[in-house]
Amino acid sequence: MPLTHQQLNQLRTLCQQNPIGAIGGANLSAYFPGIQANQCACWRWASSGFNTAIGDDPAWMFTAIMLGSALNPGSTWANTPAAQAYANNRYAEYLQYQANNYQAVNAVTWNNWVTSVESIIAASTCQLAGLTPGAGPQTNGERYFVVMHFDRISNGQNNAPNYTHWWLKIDLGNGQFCCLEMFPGSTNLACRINNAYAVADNVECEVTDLTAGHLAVLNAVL
Amino acid sequence: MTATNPKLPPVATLAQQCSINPPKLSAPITNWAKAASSGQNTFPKTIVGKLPADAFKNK
Repeated sequence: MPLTHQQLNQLRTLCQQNPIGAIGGANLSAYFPGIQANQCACWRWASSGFNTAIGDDPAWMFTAIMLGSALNPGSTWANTPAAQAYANNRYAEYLQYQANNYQAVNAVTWNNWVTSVESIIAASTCQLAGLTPGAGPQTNGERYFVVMHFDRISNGQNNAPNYTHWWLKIDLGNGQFCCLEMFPGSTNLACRINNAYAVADNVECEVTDLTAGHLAVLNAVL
Repeated sequence: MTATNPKLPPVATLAQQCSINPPKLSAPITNWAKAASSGQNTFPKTIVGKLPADAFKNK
């Protein structure tokens, strides 16, 4: 389900009327009484509009790949044998990269391996929410992207695959876009105009439209 | 943070995911969202997640 022409034009007007980097905030508690900040993780908003279960946090996949730990019992990840197998196999490879001082393993460079893992888990998280991969402008010229940012290196050390933030990017055409995002411990929906949290080490999953959850929220505020 | 092993990343444990701060409203947009209409909105319901059959296939 896409945004309406009117909603898209409202965002386009915001882009035209505000400077690059401007940020708006709408506290969702005003629209959804009783909403709790711990329901509003960035990944959950961006990938599903809060439709996905809190326990399906893709952090469980990343942590399993880093530590070989178990996936969250009862989660979709844990209940999907292919996901468990994927985590197990990547954990084994991660140990090899560490042992090889991050030299290529099976002719795959460390950076390419990390990028692959990031991309696959981001895409799977979108699929979990029922989003359909797609590319190109939709009916009203807009494009939808679920964006996952990760930290490749911290303090000079290679990080295991991870995420540190997610957001929903709506490309409005003509070089204009909005990033709609949530942050830990907050019910505030931020709208970032023609600017992004980060420009590198992002996985952009383009999808054909939004979830019912996205629209429930955006119909309330736009 | 998994501090005992320096090779382990500081950001990837479950508790540390998304441990970032919201952006500062240096150029706040006023009235970008419509006024709340109390009691008119239903918060999104949680759905049962399902991965497609080909998820992680050959990966």
